[in-house]
Amino acid sequence: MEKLTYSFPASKMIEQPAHVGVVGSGDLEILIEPSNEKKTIVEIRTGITGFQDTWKKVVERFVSQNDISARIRINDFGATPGVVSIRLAQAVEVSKIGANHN
Amino acid sequence: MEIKVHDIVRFEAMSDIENTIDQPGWVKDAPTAKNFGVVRRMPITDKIVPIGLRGNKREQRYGAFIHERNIIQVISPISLVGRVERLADRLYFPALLSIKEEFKKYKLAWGPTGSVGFEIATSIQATTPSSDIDICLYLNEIETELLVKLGNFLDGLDRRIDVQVELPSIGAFLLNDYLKYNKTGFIVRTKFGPHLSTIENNRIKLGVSSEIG
Repeated sequence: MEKLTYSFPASKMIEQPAHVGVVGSGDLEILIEPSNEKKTIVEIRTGITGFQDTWKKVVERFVSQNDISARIRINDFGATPGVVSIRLAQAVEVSKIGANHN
Repeated sequence: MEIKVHDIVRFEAMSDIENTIDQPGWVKDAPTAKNFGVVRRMPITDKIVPIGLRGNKREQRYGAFIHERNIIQVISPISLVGRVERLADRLYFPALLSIKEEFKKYKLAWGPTGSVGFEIATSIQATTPSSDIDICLYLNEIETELLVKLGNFLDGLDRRIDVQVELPSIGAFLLNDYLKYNKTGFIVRTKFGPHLSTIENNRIKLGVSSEIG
């Protein structure tokens, strides 16, 4: 099990927490919660080690497109970068529109 | 020769692999990678088949390509169902046998994939005691009622079962993702990448895809 944490400055608040994704091969769960810290904090737990560079790229890309003050927890089960990006976008969408996926 | 995603292909030697650039060191030493690859979800063009080579660790996966002429055997997940009983000593056997018996009632086309499927197909040790059981289920169209029943049945087993539901000419989704989120957004994996999708009028509506891989 590997744990990766990334932190970036942020300004905009999200409306509410959201949970998207599932436990399953090639997928991941994402929990996103509002934060008052003016930071986007991304915490990744993954059983697939050695992909720090890939995670960093995906997270940086996400943060460059989304200025949100939030704590994002990711529980990864070997998702591809494409799946990670879709789930992150989905999590932000749900945290803004109010339709909680729980 | 029809070759589909999840099929296991056998080849004579590593020299039959098309790409050797950036090949990680473990590939040449891994018994699991020596003669077998698993077909990846990508288009097959000019008879060049995308395969993944496995090492013994989860992060050891190498995306390779092989020309069809170098493939000496294609083993489909469906063909492995009849061999399940040969592995009665394995930890995953009771769960797999329960699935086999239950799925038979519905006459389902299915098969083991992932490390369990690989082990059954090749007789090479690929699972660990903590390995998930991955299976794929081939349907011609979405049958929600059936999927709900299967989901409930699988939840009752003592091991976590990951089911990929394969639909012809579309792609696949994870059963639990579909069951939880078919109204709000589940992921359909296609040959051209994943799409966040929904169900409208009993049909899959592919939504946004990712700009990266």
